Amino acid sequence: MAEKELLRISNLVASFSINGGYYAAVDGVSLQINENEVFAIVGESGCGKSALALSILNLHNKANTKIEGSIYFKGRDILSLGLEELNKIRGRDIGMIFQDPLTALNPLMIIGAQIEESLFYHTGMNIGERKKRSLELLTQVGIQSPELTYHQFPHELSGGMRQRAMIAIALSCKPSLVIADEPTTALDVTIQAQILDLLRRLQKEMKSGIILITHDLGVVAEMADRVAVMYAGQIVETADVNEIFSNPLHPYTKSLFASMPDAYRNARKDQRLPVIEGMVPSLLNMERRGCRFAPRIPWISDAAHEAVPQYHEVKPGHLVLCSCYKNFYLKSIPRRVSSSTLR
Amino acid sequence: MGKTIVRRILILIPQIIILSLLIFLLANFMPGDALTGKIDPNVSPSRLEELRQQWGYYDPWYIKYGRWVWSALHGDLGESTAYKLPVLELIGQRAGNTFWLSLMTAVISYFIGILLGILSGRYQNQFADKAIVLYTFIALAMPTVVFGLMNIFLFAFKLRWFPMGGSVDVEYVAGTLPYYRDRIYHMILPALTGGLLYTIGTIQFLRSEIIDYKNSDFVITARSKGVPEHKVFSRHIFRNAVLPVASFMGYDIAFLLGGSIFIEYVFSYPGMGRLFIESILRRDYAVVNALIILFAVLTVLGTLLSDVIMTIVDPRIRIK
Repeated sequence: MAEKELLRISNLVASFSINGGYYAAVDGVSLQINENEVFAIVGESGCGKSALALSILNLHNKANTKIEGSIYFKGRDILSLGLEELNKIRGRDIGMIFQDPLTALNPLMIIGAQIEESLFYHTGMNIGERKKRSLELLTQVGIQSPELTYHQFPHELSGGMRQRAMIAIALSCKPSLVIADEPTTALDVTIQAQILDLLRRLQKEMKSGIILITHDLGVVAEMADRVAVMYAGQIVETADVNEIFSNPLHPYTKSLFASMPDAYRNARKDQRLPVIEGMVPSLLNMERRGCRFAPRIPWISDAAHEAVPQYHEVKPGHLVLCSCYKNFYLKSIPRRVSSSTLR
Repeated sequence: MGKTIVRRILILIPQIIILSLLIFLLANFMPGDALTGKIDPNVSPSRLEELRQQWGYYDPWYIKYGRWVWSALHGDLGESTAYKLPVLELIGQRAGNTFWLSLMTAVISYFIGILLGILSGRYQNQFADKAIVLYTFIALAMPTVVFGLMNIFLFAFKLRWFPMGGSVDVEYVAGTLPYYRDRIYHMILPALTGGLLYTIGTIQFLRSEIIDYKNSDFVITARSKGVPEHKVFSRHIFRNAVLPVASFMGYDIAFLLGGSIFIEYVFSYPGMGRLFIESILRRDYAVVNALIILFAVLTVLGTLLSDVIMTIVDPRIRIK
């Protein structure tokens, strides 16, 4: 690829201690993000997306988390850094946007102070410069009266404004990578669109890479350059955004698209919305051998799965985990799917 | 903010009226009257009856209540039968002692509480935390009287570091420097006893709040900004965790100002708490009534103080 590599995650395992044992929420994830690229990670709730996002900056509670593997950011292994070194990267090179801007902002600090905090630790700006930059950022994220908002507390702002403030915090030091963990989930639909527009505009301006974590396929289609689909702590499929929408291969990806309302343009009105059978397994009772999606597609024979699932590169840049994609067909609407995938 | 406080003070007025009415009625319905015990037994029953008529014993309760409020507003809360002193003067003598003792107790209690609460919350499940939790359990189970007696036995009787009780030695002249020094010297042991016991609420509150906030969303945000961990602690975790402690401060102060009955009793410290228990034992009802009202008013004022503190420390409570 022509783009320069920004972040490379290799075989990342993040395990949480529950009742004395360690259970991996992120289980052997490898991925690579380039500069100036929007990389989306999609999956159901509980599949390890947020755990992955927090692992990148090592933000998990240290007391009950174990992180293995390696994360290279601009060639440096972040996981091997001490807290002091890591704190120089946090906020300056990598910014984070969280899901719920109400709880993610300190209720006792005015917005301005919360933006200035990262400026204080990462830049040599004095008070006046910091304030000027904060107001500039607030204007940049589309806040109408930055001077007023600067002095307001989080509870005095609307959800959309809070998320704008959150974005201003994440972007304050012009990071080369932004991790956005479900940035629109807690917002109204109309506000969601505004926030996405804003993120895209700022990404183009600042040319930073974005890891966009979401369960909303509409958001993926709108924003992403490349997509990784996560299931049960693993990435089951990676591809360019056009490729994944036109040629989804992994059974989970297909099931996700099929269960999206109006995903297939010619879905009949009287047809019930297809759903994926069963649930994402919880950390405690997850089968850690074979294909993890197998229990949710019982109509596919066991022989179709690999004993130790491997990544298959079907096209350059399009990776699929486990061989079961070759023999998969959707159960609820077999007629249409059979033509494209039974071969 | 001023508006919130003014409104809060206005609510105080009906609260105090209802309180005084309840307390008055309770006292009014108690059997016996001032003539039952105080009077010369040779006075004829018909004369007593005459006096009762004359002093308004048979008046309806609301007239009596009105008369009582009227004199109370004029600073007359009756006379102590035991001390032969106006109640107000008697309480006035004791109030200063209790005030200084409770101030010292509060300072010790908050100092220990905030220090140990932070340690315990920050180093959760480590040795220091376990030791502090053990201490809070022991202190919670310890009756004030027993702990007070233990301290007297050990530090006053055996080691002779502190006096056994009282508020000041008779040899000192009021107003001189040694006099004040001696008063402080007398306060140390009771204040420590109270402080070490009353501090557990602060410790436990602070500990659990800190633990709750340690991995809360906004704290993770702060860490994601690259804020050093000790600053995350002081600026983000501690400031939020200390809110409930601050909100209880008003109640705590009111509680302490009422005078700790047990501590003052055990240390024979001449404060309001000891006066209260002695007056009950001596059936000195005028004093008891006045003290109950005083405690009630202190409690109401304490809640007011708590509300005011909350509006100051928590921006979410401010009303514009």
